[in-house]
Amino acid sequence: MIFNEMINNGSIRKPYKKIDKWIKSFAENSYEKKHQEAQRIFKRIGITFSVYEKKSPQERMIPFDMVPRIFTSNEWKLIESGIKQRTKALNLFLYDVYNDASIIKEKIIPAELIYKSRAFESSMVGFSPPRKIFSHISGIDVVRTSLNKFVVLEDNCRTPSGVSYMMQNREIMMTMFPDLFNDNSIESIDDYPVNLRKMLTSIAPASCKNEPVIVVLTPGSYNSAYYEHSFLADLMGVELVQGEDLFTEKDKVYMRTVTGPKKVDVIYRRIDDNYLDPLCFDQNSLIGVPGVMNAYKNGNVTICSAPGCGIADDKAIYSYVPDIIKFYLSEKPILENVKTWNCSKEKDLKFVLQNIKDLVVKEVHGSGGHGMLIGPKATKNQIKIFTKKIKNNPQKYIAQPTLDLSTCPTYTSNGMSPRHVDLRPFCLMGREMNVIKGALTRVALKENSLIVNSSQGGGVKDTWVLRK
Amino acid sequence: MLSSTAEKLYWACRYIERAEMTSRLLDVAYRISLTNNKENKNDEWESILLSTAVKEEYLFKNSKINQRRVEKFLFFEESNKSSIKNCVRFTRENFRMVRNRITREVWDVINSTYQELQDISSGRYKSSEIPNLCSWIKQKSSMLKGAIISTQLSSDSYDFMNLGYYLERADNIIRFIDVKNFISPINDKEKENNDYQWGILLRTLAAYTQFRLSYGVNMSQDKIAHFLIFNNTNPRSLFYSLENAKIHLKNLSSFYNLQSGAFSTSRKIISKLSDLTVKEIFDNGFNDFLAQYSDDINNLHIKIRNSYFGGVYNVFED
Repeated sequence: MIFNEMINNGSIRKPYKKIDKWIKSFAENSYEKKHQEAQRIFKRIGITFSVYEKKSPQERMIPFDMVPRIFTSNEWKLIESGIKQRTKALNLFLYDVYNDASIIKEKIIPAELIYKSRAFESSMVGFSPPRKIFSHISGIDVVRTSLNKFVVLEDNCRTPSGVSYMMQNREIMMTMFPDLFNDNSIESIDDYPVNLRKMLTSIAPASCKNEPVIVVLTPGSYNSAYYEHSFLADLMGVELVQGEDLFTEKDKVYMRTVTGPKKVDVIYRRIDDNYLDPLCFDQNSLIGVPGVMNAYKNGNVTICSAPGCGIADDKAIYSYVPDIIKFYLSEKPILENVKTWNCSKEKDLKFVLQNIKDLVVKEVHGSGGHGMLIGPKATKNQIKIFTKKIKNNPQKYIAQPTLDLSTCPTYTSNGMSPRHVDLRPFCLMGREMNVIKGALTRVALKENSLIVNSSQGGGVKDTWVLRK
Repeated sequence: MLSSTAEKLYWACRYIERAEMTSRLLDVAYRISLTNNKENKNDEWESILLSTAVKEEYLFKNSKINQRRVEKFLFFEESNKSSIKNCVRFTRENFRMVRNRITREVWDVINSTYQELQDISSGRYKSSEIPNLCSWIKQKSSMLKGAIISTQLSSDSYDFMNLGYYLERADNIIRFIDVKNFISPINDKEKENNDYQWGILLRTLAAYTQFRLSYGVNMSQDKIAHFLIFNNTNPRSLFYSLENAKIHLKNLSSFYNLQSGAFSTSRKIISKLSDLTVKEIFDNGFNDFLAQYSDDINNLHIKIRNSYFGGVYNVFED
């Protein structure tokens, strides 16, 4: 039974009562007009992401749906405490993996799962970043499967994106429908950039005595999330730089400015580990900063998030997160995991191959909804091909049951209709830990589709947390 | 400010100024083509290719010169780096990369212009729409300038943007005068035709009525040369453009409290220009004058690049 977040057991749920009225207040065609207006505003502001088609980057917009997604303050309390717990545990795990490795010594997680993972970064072994934090910004994807059940779909510990959409979705709703915000008591999300800057300030190297100089490092304007990079730099009031704007000298990082070199203390990087430093990682990288890793390890600059964070959001590690929480915090996980079969385990592999048509199979290193098989929707031939792939490389795959993602009313060409949604709340971890009271809701615009990724036709919604 | 940011602000404005200048030229060429009964109807279309410095690129793609093809080449052509469509795209692209340095108003103008331009198909427009397209570009360019003037802080960003505007304009003025000079040798027999062509040049520089206000209805070569080169009230004179470039370089020097090589170069160019008279220019050879100042403008551009866009310590020069 799929949970509809607005209508439960035939009646409108309390947090959605005013929105239900609001939807019904629209005259026949006026909703379509407003819908078009919203898309136009997005286009005018230039909120786009790039997709590579025909070898050249094309700018696309993420479709915006005007019906907000709503959480009560109690529901949010549960999500927030679950996210905090998870982020804390994953950071303790990361520090442990690169230092004492006690979780491996205690045989809670098999050593090869960590040391053989592509996300494990050997150059970080023995390194302790400021405040011992590796993953400063997490975007843990949560889905709702019933009135009281929230489940973690995946962890994103590296550089989760989407927060600019969260803010722009709100902006556009407040511009177009100010009355909604008078009628409902909604938590503000305006503080996010300030909190992000505070967090980045709090992780400056100990050697930095003045107000730290912070930069956002982007791969460039053709990157799919470039809009977000520039948006965040703008709202934080810091420079947005590309690799060529930075250089290192005597293990310190400088940016090239009109008045000469200026020392940089904190780099919020939005480029992958591999491209960060051609001297340390991929030597062909043109977008990185040669020598930045040495500067980092000598305590002259802080990189956020730390290289090597990916080991914590690896899909193969995911199924161990409940054990990780127990091991470091001695707590019961507040948010559950999706049951996951690791094909690297013989017993699990056998089960997966027998039940593949009922399961979702994912590549351990895949992302963006690519490289996955949705059993119940796949053709016989697709299943045959995937079965072969799994048999050849079992350690590359995990499988999960198909989930009954909750739905929200969404505007479609046939009027309002329920569509599946997920949720990405954002958590900051520096001196303090902080979950913004709002999130990015992604919605699968195709009927019955469970894929919410923007690269595959997903849209977004404003997400409200109601005040008590 | 990042060196690369300064460079992008500078180029964004160079490109939009170039787009505006090209649409002015295109508009005027179209106007001439309506009234011109000369045997060789394609003269104006050749001269416009010369003054936008793209004749070679054009002939690389086209075997002969005719109105439709030149219009298309100057307005829409992908391979023409200075086509209006490309200039608008480059302006937007440069601004997009430094979004945190420009206001929402500035971004709105350039972004909407770019979006609307994407919707205009190069295959389907009619020649008769050219004046409308050109005045649309001129309007948008003015709106952008207005947004910059009325919403940007008067700080270093503003100075770099203005440097882009004034250097590009100075460069264009030289090239426009050069073409005029090149296609119409100055002698008395052709005086009537000559006046007509100077008039066109004035139109291109949006200065036809402005000229009459300052110099009366009788055009003479000397008066026009004075108006376009020396007149310090004409925003499209060489002196005015270079003087303003100097002012913005001076602002930057005081803003950063660092004397730049570019500022001293601009001072030298201006003082050299102030010492000249129209008579001396014609006596010493008009072409030499144009070639010399074309070099000076290019040199000033290089000095600006070295002073600000390299990200190394400022070179102290006198």
